[in-house]
Amino acid sequence: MAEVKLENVTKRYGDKIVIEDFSLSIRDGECFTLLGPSACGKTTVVRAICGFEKLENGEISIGGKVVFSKEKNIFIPPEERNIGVLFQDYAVWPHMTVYDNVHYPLKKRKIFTKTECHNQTEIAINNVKLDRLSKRLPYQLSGGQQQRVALARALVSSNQFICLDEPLCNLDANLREEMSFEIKELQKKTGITVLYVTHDQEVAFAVSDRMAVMDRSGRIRQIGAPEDIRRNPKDSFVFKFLGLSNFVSLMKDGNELFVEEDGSGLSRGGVKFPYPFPDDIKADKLFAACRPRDIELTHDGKLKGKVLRVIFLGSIYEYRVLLGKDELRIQEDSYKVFQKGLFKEGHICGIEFKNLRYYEQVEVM
Amino acid sequence: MSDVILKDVTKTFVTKTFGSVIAVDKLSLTVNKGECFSFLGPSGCGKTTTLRLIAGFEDLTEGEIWLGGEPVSIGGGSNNRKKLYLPSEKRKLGMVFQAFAVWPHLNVFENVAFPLRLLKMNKADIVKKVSEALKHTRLSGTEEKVPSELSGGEQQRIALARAIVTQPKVLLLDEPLSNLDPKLRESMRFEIKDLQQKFNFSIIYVTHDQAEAMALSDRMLVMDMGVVQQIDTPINIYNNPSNKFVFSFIGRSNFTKVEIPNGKVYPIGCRGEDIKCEIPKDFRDKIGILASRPNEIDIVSEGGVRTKIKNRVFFGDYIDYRLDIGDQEVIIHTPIDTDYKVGDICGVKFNKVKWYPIQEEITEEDREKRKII
Amino acid sequence: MATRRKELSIMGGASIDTGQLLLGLSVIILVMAVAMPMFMIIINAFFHKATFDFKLFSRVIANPDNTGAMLNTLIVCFSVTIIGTIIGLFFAWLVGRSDLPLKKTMKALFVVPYMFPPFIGAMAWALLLSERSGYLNKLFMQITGGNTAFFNINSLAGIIFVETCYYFPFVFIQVASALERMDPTLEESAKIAGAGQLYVIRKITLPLVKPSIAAGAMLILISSISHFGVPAILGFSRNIFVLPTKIYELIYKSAGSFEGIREGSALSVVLVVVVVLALALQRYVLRAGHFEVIQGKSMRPVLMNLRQFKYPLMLICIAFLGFVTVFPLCIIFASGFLKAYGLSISIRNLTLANFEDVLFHSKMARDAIKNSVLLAVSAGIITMFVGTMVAYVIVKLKVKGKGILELLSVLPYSVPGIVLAVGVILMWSGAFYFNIYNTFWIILIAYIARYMAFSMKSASASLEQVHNSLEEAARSCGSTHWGSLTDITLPLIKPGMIAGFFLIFLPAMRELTTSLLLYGPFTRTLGVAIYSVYEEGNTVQACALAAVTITIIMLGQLTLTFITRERKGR
Repeated sequence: MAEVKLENVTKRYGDKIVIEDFSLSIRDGECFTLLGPSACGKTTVVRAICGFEKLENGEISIGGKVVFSKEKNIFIPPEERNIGVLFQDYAVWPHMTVYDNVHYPLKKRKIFTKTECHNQTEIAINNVKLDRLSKRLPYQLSGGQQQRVALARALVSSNQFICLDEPLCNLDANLREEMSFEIKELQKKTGITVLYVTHDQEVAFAVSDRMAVMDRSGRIRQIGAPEDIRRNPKDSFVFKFLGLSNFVSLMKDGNELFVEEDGSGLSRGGVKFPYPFPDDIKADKLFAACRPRDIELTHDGKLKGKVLRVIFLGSIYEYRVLLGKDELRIQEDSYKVFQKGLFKEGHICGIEFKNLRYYEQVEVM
Repeated sequence: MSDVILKDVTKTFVTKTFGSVIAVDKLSLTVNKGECFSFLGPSGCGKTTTLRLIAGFEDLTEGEIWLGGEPVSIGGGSNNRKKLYLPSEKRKLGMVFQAFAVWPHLNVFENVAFPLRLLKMNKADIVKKVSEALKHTRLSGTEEKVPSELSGGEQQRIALARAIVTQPKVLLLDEPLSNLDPKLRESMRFEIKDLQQKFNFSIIYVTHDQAEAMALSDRMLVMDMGVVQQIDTPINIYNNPSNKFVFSFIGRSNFTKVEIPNGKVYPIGCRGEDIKCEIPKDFRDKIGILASRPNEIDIVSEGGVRTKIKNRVFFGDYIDYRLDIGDQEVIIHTPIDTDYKVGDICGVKFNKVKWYPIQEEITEEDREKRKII
Repeated sequence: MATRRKELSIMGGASIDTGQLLLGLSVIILVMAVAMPMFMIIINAFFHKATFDFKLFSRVIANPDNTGAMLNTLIVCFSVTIIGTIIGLFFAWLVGRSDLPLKKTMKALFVVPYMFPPFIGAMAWALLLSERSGYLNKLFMQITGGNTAFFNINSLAGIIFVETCYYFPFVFIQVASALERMDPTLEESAKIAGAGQLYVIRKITLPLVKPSIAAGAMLILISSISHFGVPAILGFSRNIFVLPTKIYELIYKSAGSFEGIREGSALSVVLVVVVVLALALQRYVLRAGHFEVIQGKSMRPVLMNLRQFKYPLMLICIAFLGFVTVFPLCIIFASGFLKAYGLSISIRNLTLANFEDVLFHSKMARDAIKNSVLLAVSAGIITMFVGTMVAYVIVKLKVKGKGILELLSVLPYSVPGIVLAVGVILMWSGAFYFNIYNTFWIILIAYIARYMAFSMKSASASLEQVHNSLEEAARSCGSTHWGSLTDITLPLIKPGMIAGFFLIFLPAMRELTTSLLLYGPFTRTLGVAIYSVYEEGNTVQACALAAVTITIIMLGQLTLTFITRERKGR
């Protein structure tokens, strides 16, 4: 139960700037996710909050108390910050059993009686579904099980704030889904503030109240509730990062848009792109962004494309279609395709778009 | 003529810890010329062992393996036929491994030329064939480089070039893309498929990734605990999984235990409302499992089995709703324009279901044991 | 302000002050233990009364006795390396890539020669094959009716033979483990491509283990150059010298005179130059060609079917092991029970007198046992702690100047034992107001210098396994820096430290080279005692003492194996 604030935090390794003037505000009782590609600096943010990095600049406060300030020369050591952490390499102590690993922080906090410590340990172990294995040593557990031990340990380490750095990446898909719901449940129940760090947007959607999308240079691109960001991505980086994307290269001529030619003869200059677009785009070149599920293939239509590939993936069918010079990726539930009929490779088909967004440039990831 | 035939192939391992384990149990299959055939199953199911039997790295306990119309492995025991085992180097196969198995001390050219040198081809021919193979795998110009200078995807393509350079009739691939990142995996799938269409060899492809198997195969085999569960085309397997295991392995699933007193279907222990769906004519049991896919059943505001929304998570391409029918959870995935909130009263409509009998489950521990072998 | 000091106690160590303190302490210890002795040798070799004097050095090098010794050294070390490599490679391949039965036993047994003091092996072989009185030679002469021995062990060939028996495991261990770790699909893909078994070995397996072969061969080379024990036992009686034994002779014959020590220093410089050249060769060889051949999936490698050669080869392996390990040991133990050397081994010639003597009556023997145990234990404990501290500074602390430490830490490893002894004499015999020559302490200091490298390597390995994140996790659970050291780091390196202790205790127990130059009337070690008793001609007593030493070592080795096996469980 604590609010966490970072202001203008900067960290450098030699000449390389990892994060610069980084500011973030996490609300009390919130589950906040830092979402970004690998090596973007999100782990550095966690380490900075926990007190494991020497920072060049900035101020960090937890629950209203300043734990670091370059200006005021304040630095509270890690063990006094009352934060629970789960590191990326989970750091489970190999010489202690599951029980002892989870019990350790409770022992160190010195605020509970022996019985309370024991009870809380048992509850935490049960929550991560390791109750049968509490007497085992780490080498007797799989990677996924070890990760759960570290998760339980992090969850009992603090009653105000927990940082989880990729806590589920070693679990298989089913277990990952189960545990992400579990974490959400626990968080809602206890009201603890959680900072979750990951590159996996599926998990981010499952657990977050709000999230921040970071790019490779450590800058935050957008903050908001996951659904809001997904429905309204501010720029093409966020659009690309949050799911499979299609971009159609367009040219503006007066009030109309045209598909950029490619010389294949399909969309030779003059093929209109018959969709409305916002007035505030001034450039002559722009891109229409669209999700694979928001494109439909029809038997005729103003826009025509050539089907390059048809791929059956089980619950969905995927089409690769050439429009102008861009290859579009289209997905549709297979049971619908079975009802409507399949488009075949090599055929020309009509293309219809829904939910288009427009961007002036497409960033390279 | 079929390129690969397996008849009742069985492989038993004797281990110190678990005694005798049947890794592959009376497996029979045929791979036709130019076909792309996948082995799909969880880790430890026997698919890699089967591939290694075909390659000749292991000798089978019983059964027969024929390649290109000639027998290569015949086991002792049944049939009174004499035992036969043709070593790997004589089977004229091409193979690609999961960890690439590209030789680090040889450059790209020597890696790909290796099989040709063994055929005692003359120098000029070798150079010609290697260049061709490298062209087909988009590696032209890298001849002088050593593998450590190239990326994972490029190394796998060296392995591919090496496998096809002798133009074998059958290409074996053992989880070849599992060590690559997801984007690369997708593009390499197409490259493999294109190569197959160009050269018309048969492919046997081992994977644990069902999407990959579906995307690539003409036909596939689903395996569990050493036993074949189903052999068919991907579409048929998806639409008609032969049992509960195949159903769950091929895609997301709901399994709702139901009972059928007097012709009506109820969730077990919950006689309130009945589920309106067809009971297959040959289903005689009084209890069963209703299998459904989250994206093939609907939430309806009126009608259906009445319940309420327990949980809702937005996942970008779909919304994940959790509802309880009786005390069993059902997952439904809808497009993102549906607008139900947690607590809303609604109904579940089981549009498309499959029926399975209730059977004893194989535990995770049983499966774990097999992974070690 | 309290918080300022706390700011300095960021992850990676204690406050910077403590870090610098530890660094300084470590540097001082290493300099005094290792660098200074070396420095003294150079001074003595090249300086006379504070002026540079090359005459002594050039005289020593030109002396034909010394050049003879240099030549012998080269002959021996290259022969041992080549033959040892071939043998080691052969057995490594048999164990790693064929379906030879009893492989686990073989693997364990092939490592045994590596654990024994080679000079005791030399003694055993001398009992069997000394020209006149060796048992095997006498048997041969009986059978042939002639006067010529089958083989005279007191020769260069004899020295090469015995050293090879004890050094081949270096290559065996390196190659066997490389074969074990190699990804089997590298060989499988060759087979699929059409290659037969031999072609795979030639074109794939061998090239890929070449780095390991080279690593093992280099180890043999460097060990053989510096080796003292075997040439001492087998060569002295025939005036056959190699550099290490020649250095000893120069100093010993001169009875501690200044001239003798200077000559010894000069020759030591030559020896060190040779070792440094070998080390440079080692670095060059190891750098060229380093392949990542570590496997991922746990698959068994394809084994070559030996068919009809299976049992014959197994018998060859067993015979070889028996010949190299068991046979000499039996002879030592058996001779310990004989009344006198030369008597045939029959019941009426056996006695317990030698063992009684050694264990209960001989003061010298009992002193030797006491001294060796005391020295080995003290050296073990001190080196273990110092080594851990130095390793901690290098591995875990972020202080400026630890490069010096890293440099100094390599030194002890490369200095031959005899040279270190010479340097220690020069440094601690009054040159700096400390004269501890002929005392227990000078030997202890020499041991600490000698074995520091082992302790540091072992401690570094242990510390590296304790990832920083383990300590950080403890701190974020509420533990102070010191708390995380005691709760996490220490328990995790404890098994490594104990193993490190035994890694020093065992070699120190059987050590000969260094103590032979440094012992005084009351500070004989076991090695010295066995050697001097043997040189005096009291063969059977020497064997009894050797047998006792071997027993102590074997018990120690078993304890070590027991501890490390426990640790493997973690």
